[in-house]
Amino acid sequence: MVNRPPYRMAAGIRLADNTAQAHRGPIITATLPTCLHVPLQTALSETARSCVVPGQQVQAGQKIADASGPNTVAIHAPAAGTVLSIGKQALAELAGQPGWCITIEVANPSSPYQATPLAASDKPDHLSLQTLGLVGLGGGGLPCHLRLHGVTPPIKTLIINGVECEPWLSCDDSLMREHADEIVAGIRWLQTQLDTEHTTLAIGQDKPAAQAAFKAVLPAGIQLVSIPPLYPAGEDRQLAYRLTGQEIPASQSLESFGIQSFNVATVHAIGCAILRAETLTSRIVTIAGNVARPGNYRVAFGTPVSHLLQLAGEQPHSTGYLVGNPMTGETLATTDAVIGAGAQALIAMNQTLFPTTEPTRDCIRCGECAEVCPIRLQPMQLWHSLNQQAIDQAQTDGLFDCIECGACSYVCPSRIPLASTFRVTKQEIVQATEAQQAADKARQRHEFRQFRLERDKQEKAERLAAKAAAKHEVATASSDPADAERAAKIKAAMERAAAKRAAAQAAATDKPAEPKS
Amino acid sequence: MSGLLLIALILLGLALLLGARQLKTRPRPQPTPPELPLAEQIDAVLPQTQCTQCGYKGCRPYAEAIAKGEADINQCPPGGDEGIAKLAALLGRDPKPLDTSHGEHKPKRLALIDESVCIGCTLCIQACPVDAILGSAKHMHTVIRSECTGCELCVAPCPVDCISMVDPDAPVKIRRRYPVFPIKIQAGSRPDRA
Repeated sequence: MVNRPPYRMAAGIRLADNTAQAHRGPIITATLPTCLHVPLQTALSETARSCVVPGQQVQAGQKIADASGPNTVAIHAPAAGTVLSIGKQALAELAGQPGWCITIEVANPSSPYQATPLAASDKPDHLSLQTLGLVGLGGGGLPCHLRLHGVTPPIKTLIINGVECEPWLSCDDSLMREHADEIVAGIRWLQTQLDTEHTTLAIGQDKPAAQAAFKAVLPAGIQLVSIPPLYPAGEDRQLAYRLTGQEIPASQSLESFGIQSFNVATVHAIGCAILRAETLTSRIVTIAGNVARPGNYRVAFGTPVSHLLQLAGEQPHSTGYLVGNPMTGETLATTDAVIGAGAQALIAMNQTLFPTTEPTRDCIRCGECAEVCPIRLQPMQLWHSLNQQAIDQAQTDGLFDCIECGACSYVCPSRIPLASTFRVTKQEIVQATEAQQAADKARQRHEFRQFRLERDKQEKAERLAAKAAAKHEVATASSDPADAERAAKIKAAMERAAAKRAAAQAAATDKPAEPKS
Repeated sequence: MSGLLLIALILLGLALLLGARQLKTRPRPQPTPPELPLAEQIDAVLPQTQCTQCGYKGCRPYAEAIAKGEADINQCPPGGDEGIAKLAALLGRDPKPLDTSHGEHKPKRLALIDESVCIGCTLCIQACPVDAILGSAKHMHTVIRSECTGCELCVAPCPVDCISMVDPDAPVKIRRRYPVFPIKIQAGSRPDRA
């Protein structure tokens, strides 16, 4: 099965496998809440344009927002109901930050969610990934059509990422076990679209059931590679290196090396879209931790976290909620936050599962963080540079190459929050650079305005002077003899007056000199 | 004996080889860019809001005044404490709190013209220091959001008070239609129309 041994990763960590809790059963279809708040935002922080108004009735699968540009996709109603409002709601994948959402009052609450094809009334002439609302489900949330069309150079290697090396997560695993045929349909379609030479399906070594499911249906031309579960082996650049031996710098994309990578959940959504014109209105979310019924739930977009916790039977004494990759994910401040395409997992924390972390101590320069860093940075050195406000030094040491995987924070014996510090600092640097650029632009515009006002003033003065000169010329160049006579008279009078003035001045200057001599 | 000599020669050769490589790979000192005049260095640190709250006609004149020693470093409200710290570091002085007689530091806000109220008087266009307002006489004006520095200089000249300063992320709210009051003409007061 494995034709080529994968390249070795620089480093990584072997994490405790917490997937067992949610892993056992089949995918559970979550029931619908009373109100869905469907997010309109994509990963590129652009918002789709709503095409419904409050009070309007919508069908399941009906388009409720149009793509407002190339960076957004159409959004569809996950269930039938009435549009209540369009406003800002806390989004779970953005750690509770608000984003624009369409609120739909569901017609049949507490009935199970059902995937529906695009409503017949909105069938566009040309069905595309954009009109079907397909975005990446691996956590990034990038619209899929951006990764297929207009990509240069041509994609030679297609990677389907089913590694899922993060602790707690088993949403991709459950999907691979149950829907291998739909995933294969998606892969075959991508192969023809991208015209690739090699296609590799990478599955974690800790997922024998998923591998077995694919063995039965995998056609020739798709290679199955088993990846040892070393965190963060599932990160796109790490996986591309393992499979192709090509190192990809942080400043460049996978596409520029002729490699494209898709998460299995995304490929499954593409498969459903091309088989049944199904719109993307739900995703599989691993719900685990302090709950009575952990598992992988198919959740409609816009379902509030509180509804899911109620479904999964949240136990008392939760201390917080984690959304997304537990190694890098942030805790939610509010359970009103809603699930979007980027929320892979929802984990309720409690004291036994997530004991309160010890206070941060000083760095002892043990070098553990450097040993586990998958991109061979020296996190302790970056930390010291940042502590001394030596931002430039940290940047030359590769701060922006950091993939924020969180391996360094995990192993640190002094419990220093390394990865989150790097993430925050990177955001601050980007913000400061943007502010500086804005200031430079404002300076330029202000200087140009000053220049323009000065130039207008000067031009106006010149114009007036030219007008006056022209008037004078007209007066002097007149051919009328009477005018010439009058001019001569005036000139003579002016000369006389000047002579008189000069004589008077001479007399005045001579006079006071007299008494002295 | 010759064996010892050979070892010494090999070590010497290795030392020379490695030394040469070291010299080759050592980063060469970069030529430092010529130093800018002090006023320009100060101007580069100022936020370029051009709000004139410091008492000068813009950021550049204030920078020149600081360079000459005529103005203090704590007169720029948009820069706030962070801006003062930058100026203090540049000039080698101690930072001091903002002089609030010039204004309070507040987060950047953008000007928003209520387009249903605007009468097209062009006064705000003349007041804007960065040409961020678009419009012409008796036509609606609007603010180019990406160019607005939030200086608030356009707010005071507006004769119909249709410019407000808003939070950049806040949803846009239209205030009201421009009020039109019907004027009743008394019979006989306009002989030309009678």
